[in-house]
Amino acid sequence: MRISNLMLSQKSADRVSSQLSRLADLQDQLGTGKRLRRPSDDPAATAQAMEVRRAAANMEQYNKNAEEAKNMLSFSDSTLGQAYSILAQAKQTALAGATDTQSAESRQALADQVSAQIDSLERLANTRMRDKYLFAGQQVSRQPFAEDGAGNIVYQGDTRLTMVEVGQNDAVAANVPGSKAFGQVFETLQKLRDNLTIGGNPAEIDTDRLKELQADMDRIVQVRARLGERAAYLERTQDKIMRFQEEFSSWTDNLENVEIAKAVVDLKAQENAYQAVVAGTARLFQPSLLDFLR
Amino acid sequence: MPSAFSGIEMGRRALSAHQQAIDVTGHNIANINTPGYSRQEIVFATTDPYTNPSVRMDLTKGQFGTGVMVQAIRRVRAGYLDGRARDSMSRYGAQTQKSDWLSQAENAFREPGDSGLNAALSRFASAWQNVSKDAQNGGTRAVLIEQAQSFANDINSLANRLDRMAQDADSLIAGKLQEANDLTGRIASLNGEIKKVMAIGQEPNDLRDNRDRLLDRLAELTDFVQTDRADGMVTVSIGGTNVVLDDRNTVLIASSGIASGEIGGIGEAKASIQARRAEIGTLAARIVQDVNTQHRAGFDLDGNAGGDFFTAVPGNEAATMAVSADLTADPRKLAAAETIASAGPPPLPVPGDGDNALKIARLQEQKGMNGGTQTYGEYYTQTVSRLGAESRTALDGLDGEKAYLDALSQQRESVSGVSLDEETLNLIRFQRGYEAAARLVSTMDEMLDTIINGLGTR
Repeated sequence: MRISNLMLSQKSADRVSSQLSRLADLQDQLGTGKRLRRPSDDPAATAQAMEVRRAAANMEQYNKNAEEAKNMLSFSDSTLGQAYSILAQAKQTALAGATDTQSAESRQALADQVSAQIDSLERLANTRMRDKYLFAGQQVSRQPFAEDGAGNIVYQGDTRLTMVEVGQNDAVAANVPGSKAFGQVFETLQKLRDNLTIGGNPAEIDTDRLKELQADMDRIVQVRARLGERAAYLERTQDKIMRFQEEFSSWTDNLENVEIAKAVVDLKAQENAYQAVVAGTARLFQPSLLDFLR
Repeated sequence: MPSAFSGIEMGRRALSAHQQAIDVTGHNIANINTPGYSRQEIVFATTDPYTNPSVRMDLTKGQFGTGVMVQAIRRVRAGYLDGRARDSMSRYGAQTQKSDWLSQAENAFREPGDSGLNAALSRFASAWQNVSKDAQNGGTRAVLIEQAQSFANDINSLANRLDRMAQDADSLIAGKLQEANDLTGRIASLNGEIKKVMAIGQEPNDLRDNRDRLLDRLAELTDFVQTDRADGMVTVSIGGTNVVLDDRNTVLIASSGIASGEIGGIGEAKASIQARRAEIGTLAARIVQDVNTQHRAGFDLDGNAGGDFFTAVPGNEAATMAVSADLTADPRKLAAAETIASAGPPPLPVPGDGDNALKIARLQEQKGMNGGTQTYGEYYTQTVSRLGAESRTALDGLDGEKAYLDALSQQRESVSGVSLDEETLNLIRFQRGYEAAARLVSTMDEMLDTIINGLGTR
């Protein structure tokens, strides 16, 4: 093939520039740490990376939801635990009041104790978490247990559940409506107080109140058991989410990021190739026929 | 017998021919770095021989040579390579522009990453999730409105960037068309000059080189069919229209009909950008419609039915969607609740009810796009990966075409390029020829001196 001078210089300029642009690309990859800098770097991997990123964002939200639901459930559980102790005290009071040996005055003292227990229980039932009432169903802005005109404590919330998503098509109720958790407990205690008050009918304690109290306590135990189950489910879900998240993050890493060791080796090889081309170019035009003529 | 002076004439012709040859060599050396220059070659030929008229032909044999003349100065060029190279230049020009523009479009999407629409979709859904858990909370509501507005802004600016790119492509095409028209004008006038030079029997080498350079550039810009004619002119036709005919050109106004070259490439890239832009439009319209429909089905913190969540100009949702001013003014109007406790009047709201917000959050899992087969995210991902794949194809095509074009250019250059070694050799060769011819003249001179001054002076 006939070789012209322009051809030689153009060819080596092309070679230098293509080697240099490969070098620049590798340096950019190393500098950013990214293998995928734009979709065309690998369109299929880009699509995957985007799916994984969305899934990971969902997982993050699910995890946050689960965490908050767990907080609400555990707050409800400990509040119900306190309610249970108050009921246990009330049962002791009832047992004390049910014995025949009590005088009317000492029963009245017990009745005062029951009043105090009702107050404590009411405070518990009206517990707030941040700005919302915990046991109000979804009527969270209104105090769920309040006295009506006749002196009875009535439930003003609703029975709706706040469902929190912890997975696709997987929602967990984060609350317990007050009517479910507390049932007839205020009525029971108010009747107990009336039974113990002077002029009341203490005989009903033995026949009705103790059974009613036991039923209330049993229900709280059951509700707490269910809350515990939900919390355990959330715990398991979070474990699962965490495993997913680890998987996603290594997946994203594989798809998007540069494998540093390999990139460094590639860069070194490319540097050598570049140097070889540049060195070759420098020697390109050294001798010509002109150098050998007088 | 020829005249005694014919030897001097022969020497004169040889001197002149070699002088011209050295000039041609000089022209080649001078243009060693001129792109598009075709080396020129001198063609020597013998002049007409002298036939001795004689009754007895066997007395003086044969014909007398009368020396050398320059038959032609021609450029060395392989015309068949030009056509192939120009086809390749058209494709290369198209791929360069296409890959350039599509890469820019890719940058507008900023994927995969945290600042693209993919992440914004997730953040938008998360904000609704947070409201669904905490519907009575004014702060959470305000955060959602902010997030939704920034989501709308993200879509707006993506749509605007793509729109602007399409406009820029149009104005660039207009500029390149103007350049192409300028080229065809110059090609046409060169046609005229070349025809004139050829008519008087000369070779318009440098004019042809000039025209070839213009044709090369025109090939980068467009794709054309070239017809070479015997009178030296070329006819150039683009998309079936003769844009150069004889020494006149027809001005191109639109890029239609130009399928390749830079102009064709920009056109293709623009079409693809517009297709992706239309997909973003479809996505935005769907999101606006879905969110608004669901939002209207819910109730706000005061128990009133929800209004539109997003406002947008119908048909151009992507560029115009925004959170409704009612909501930005008063986040209580966010219809997060699915129910009300009683219709009233006045209505009694359920402040902790975030079920409608949850439904809106779940819209992102619903396969409502593309005939009910894709979620918002999947549809958007497809748009991005389509763009990426097109851009990848253009880049790969560019690499392949560059290799092919380089090979062709090398071949062209191999035929037409100037080699300094070769020219140096020619220079020596012609110099020696010149010297020898001069010697011939001086020898003749001495011979004549003998005849004129040496004979009969006694």
